[in-house]
Amino acid sequence: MDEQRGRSDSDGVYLDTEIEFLDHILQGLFGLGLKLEYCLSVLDDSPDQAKMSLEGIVSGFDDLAEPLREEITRLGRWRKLGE
Amino acid sequence: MSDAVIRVMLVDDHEVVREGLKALFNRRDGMTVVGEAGTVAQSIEVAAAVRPDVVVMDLRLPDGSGIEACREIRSELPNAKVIMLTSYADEEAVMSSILGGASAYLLKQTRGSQLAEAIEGVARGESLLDPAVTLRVLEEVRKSAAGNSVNASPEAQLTENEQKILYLIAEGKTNREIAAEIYLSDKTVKNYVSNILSKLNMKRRSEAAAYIARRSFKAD
Repeated sequence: MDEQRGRSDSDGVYLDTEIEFLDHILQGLFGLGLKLEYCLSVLDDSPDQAKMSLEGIVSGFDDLAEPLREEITRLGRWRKLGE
Repeated sequence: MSDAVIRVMLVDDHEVVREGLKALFNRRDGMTVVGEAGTVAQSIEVAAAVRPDVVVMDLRLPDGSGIEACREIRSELPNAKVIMLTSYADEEAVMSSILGGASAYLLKQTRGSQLAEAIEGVARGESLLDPAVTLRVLEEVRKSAAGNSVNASPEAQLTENEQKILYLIAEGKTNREIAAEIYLSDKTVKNYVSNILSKLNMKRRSEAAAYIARRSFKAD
């Protein structure tokens, strides 16, 4: 995906890839939200299970942050090129 | 269906979404997840094997559109209900989903518990539209009704881009060739083709090509 991103910022392919990227982030946030909802529902009955799920959610946020970090780096480089 | 356990199948290429939905649904009384898939092809195969009551389907899948999968599954299993679950509201996709036989169209901003209630409602035979997309759908219906009164051609329900792609299909172009010609990705073209077939009530692109050929012949 990164190879395509930024290759051409004026055509539909770029927009398409952007949509796909943002969609991926949104899907990840939705999934983690569902997992948090599940943790809340089992917190009283099975705190150990909730704890285990919460650890998975923390890793999930790390996984989601990674492409965002790459995107910020890419945009930063792009801005420098324009200066 | 009142006392029976609702058999749910999840179709989403994001594992984190499937895991979250599965954990929540399996915890709910009267509901169990019986199958999962991450692509259109897998979803058709798994649905035939597990025969779910309700399929929760993502719109964008790596090998095509959820609408295409919805149509295929419903033609094999007419009693199965499909809920389209997507990350954003797109009026073309909403209309195509409805025409493709989906019972509900919800955005991925819905709480898991509300989604479970939606599954129960759909299993009872109800239809459901996310409030965020209802207004857009009504506008599309009005536009379509206005279009039908002046132009009865099935093409009239297609958007400008869809009409353009329909003619490229009729020229015998592949999705890849169409994508290159109109600067879109293969995946987006696949989604467009699926929407076009849904709106024209066709199953294969060859039918669409034949339709255009017939129209041109009549016009000549």
